[in-house]
Amino acid sequence: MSSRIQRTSACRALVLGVGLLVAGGCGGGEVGPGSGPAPQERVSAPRPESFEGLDPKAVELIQAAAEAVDGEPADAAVWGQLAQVYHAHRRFGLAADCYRQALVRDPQDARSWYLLSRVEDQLGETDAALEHLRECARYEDYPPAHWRLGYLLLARGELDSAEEAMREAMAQAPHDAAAVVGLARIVLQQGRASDAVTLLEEHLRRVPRDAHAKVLFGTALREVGRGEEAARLLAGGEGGAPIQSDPWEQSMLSLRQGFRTDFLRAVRWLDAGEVDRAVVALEQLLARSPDDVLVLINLHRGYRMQGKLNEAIELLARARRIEPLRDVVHLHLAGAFWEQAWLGREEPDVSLLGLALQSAREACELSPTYAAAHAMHGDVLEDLGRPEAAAEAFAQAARLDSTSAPWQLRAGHALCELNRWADAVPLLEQHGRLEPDSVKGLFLLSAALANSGRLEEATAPLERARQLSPKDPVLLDAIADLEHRKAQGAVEGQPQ
Amino acid sequence: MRSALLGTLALVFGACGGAVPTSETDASPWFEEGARAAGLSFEHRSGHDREFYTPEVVSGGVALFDHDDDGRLDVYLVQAGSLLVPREERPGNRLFRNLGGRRFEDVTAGSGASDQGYGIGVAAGDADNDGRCDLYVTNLGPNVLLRNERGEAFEDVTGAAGVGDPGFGSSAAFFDYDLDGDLDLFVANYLIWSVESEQPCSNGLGQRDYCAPAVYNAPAVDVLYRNAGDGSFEDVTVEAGIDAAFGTGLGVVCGDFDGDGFPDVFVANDGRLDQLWMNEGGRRFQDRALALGCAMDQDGRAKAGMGVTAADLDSDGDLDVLVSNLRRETDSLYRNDGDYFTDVTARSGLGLVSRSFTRFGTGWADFDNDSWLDLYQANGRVASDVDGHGSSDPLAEPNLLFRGGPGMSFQECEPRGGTRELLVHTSRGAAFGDLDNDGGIDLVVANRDAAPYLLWNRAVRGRWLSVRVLDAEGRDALGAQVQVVFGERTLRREVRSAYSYCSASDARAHFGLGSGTSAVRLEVRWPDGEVLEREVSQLDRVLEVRPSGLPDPSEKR
Repeated sequence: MSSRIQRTSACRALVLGVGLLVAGGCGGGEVGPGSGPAPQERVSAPRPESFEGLDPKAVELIQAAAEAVDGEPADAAVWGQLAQVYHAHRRFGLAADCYRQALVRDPQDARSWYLLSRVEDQLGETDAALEHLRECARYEDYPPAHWRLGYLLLARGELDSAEEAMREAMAQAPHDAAAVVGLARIVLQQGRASDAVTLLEEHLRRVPRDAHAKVLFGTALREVGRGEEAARLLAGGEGGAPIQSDPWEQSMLSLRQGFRTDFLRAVRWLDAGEVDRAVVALEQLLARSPDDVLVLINLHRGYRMQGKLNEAIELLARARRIEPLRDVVHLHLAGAFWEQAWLGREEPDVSLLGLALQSAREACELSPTYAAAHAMHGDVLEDLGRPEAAAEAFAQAARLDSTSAPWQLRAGHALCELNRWADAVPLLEQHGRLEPDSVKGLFLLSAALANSGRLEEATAPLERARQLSPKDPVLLDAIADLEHRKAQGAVEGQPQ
Repeated sequence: MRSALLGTLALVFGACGGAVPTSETDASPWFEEGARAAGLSFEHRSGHDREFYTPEVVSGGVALFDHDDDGRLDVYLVQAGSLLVPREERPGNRLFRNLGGRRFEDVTAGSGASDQGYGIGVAAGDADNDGRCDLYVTNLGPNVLLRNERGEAFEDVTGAAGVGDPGFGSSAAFFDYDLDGDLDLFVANYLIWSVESEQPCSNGLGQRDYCAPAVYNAPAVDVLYRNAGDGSFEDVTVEAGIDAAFGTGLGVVCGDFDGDGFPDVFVANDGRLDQLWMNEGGRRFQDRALALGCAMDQDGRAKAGMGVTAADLDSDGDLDVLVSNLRRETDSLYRNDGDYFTDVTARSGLGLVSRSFTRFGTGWADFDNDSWLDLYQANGRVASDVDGHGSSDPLAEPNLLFRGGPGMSFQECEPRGGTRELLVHTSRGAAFGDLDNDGGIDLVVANRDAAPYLLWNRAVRGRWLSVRVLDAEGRDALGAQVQVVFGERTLRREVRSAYSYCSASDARAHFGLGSGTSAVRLEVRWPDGEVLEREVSQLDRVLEVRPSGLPDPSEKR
């Protein structure tokens, strides 16, 4: 990033003077640039009417930042800091007010223009948000300012200007995912689907895991008539959050304090595999709030990852006592008992499986349409040697969430095991749409079709599986078997 | 540098009045609020106290229907009340008879119309083929079918009809999916929910607030009832394949999206994929939304669908769809391109403005009769995690009015919401209809914990034609298609009452014709395939048409 305009103290003084001159007669107020009267220069920090809902650590941070402003009211930086503290804690009106104060004092502060624009977007003041993104871009090359401008212009239907903004972002950061995907969205809206395909193909070569871009790619493919490829990409439903790298916003958000913030941070560590760090943080949170069921559940996850299964189960039992109607507690309890039933054994402990079954059933009864609960129920039933009931549970999970590939496969497999081939076909077909390159799925689909009497249809998935895994002996046997059955069928079908 | 910066600051800080997009201008408002003056005395009660129960934040339906067949639309308002008190202690729904002269009278007492369930929404249609419009009220708990008794009273026939689905009903729609001449019923369910299953949730400010639906892990199956023709209905949800997908249904609109003559069903789901149930020959349905490109927006996000409406917006002969969504999500405008739907929200002009509000009731209507469909959206938040709009109600938001134009384009009208004074409440259902039969589409908007809006159309309007299409039994022929051709324009409407959010609207097909039109070519296609074509040279009136073999069309003004 480079600063486009060199700041000098003389310039700053001049600007401040102009700002005061212009702002002087407007009478202050909270509404600011582009959407109402300009702010009068304040000499003390604004404070919230109430601190309700704020964690004591957040209150402390706000008070410290406000006192800094009171001590140095002419300093733009302290106003900017207070603005960010309010912004991080979603006190948007106060944040906007403080950003404007910072900008009266330093109108070339790109970051304050940018963050002010983010606040205004939250407040629905989109005209001002647009204008202030442009202001930001005057003073610093910050790609997110351009792509956010592009997205806002796209939402406003100003497609040419939006494209210009996205291209500017890409000029600064050619592979910025948010800019590339944004440009693809714009050209799609302009009816230039083939351009979108080119952009997204290239992007997905670089970032193959960008699920968000994959769905957009599916949309673009459909519009250029590549329907089959599109259907495969779109069958999985939602693509997930877009990849957006925005260091200024991240830095502002890192100011957020409070129990919930600490909790979410710990869960992120847990999800990222930083288990020990997460467990320490969650234990501290539990000490602060011993009855918080979400903390108990996530600490249980941490303990399980550390192999401390008994402690994990104890935590869940405690969570169950606190909130006996929370389905997810029963679901996790079922999972923990299930794991314990197998721990260090060749055969599962049936009494522990019984406890797992009880918890899984409880979760299903509390939330009859909770797909994960039915899948868990199926797992336990299968281990208890009840394949019919297990297959029904898997099928229910698959029906409840038709975009979950594992559950389609699990249900299809279970039904195949029961020789319910025809019932398995639609589940395995759906699995094939979600995971077209799954050898196991293709093999099972072929088997289900063949055993449902659909021998001709059974060939294609098996051939596809062989392409993916050419030397797999099971597949080679299956192909030979299928050919044999088809030949036999042809002979039997001949007129006598 | 000085001049550049001066320019910047002047631009940014310059106007004390500001360039507020909704500022008062000389634009004359299209609507005048007049609920109280018209006698529509009703105050919705969500029952919200200290706890945050999800049904409190979604209740609020309204029906415009002619219950006594006097040619004037009456108003039915759905009430909720506390979730923690017995049914009989709840205030109950209200029926207001349209007296003409822009006056209404509360005729609920003794009418049998006051169901006291925890009301969410309402659908209107002639369920028993007696030529009178009946009501179906969705509740948290058993829904209720109120049979219209000769326009004098209502009788709760839920038990006999077998339509008392006990779920968390939201929007419902009467439609004849099997084309057997009687109205079947589709009911969207929001969640599997009870007071006991409520969860403690916090908003972004760390304060207790309403939960998002995903918190409950409890999506629901919608319900399809087939009318047996003898006053009873059969639950054919499983048989028809509707149980193949689960959702968090809030909005429903029926229409023939693929032009095969059988009505399909679009369901707006809250935070899950929307569904388009394609009718396969009047026997089964298949959800094809994902395959056809209208389950989620262009880049693969399932938004929080609330309201939904459908119309042939681009006059290409098929139905386009608009889904209204949560704050910070744009609307979803799906253009029907025959083989699939294309998300054209961004280029329509609906993106940026709508994104600032949580939109529930939504509907296209030609308010100024310029021949282009306009859009009204009833808004109100579901969580109070950002600064409010100056109301003591933290969920309150202004509503939005857009002027429609060529190319599926919309522009927000000033003043915001179409009224001289900005109205700010937590709006939910919105029903559309010509309440005073003056050729202008009026509105009734249900507001949470507040009185409704009755928005009289005061726009400077063009010429118009309203077509009431009746079937052989003399009831509104829901699903019939009406086309009007004049000059270069071809306008199409389906006879439809259920769209928007939890509401029932005027089923008459309304056409704005602009100022210079003197005659139109009218074509009506009934669901059974019968077609009527005629020239209409007398405009600015309500035209009533019936199938052949019945008395000649009567004409009303």
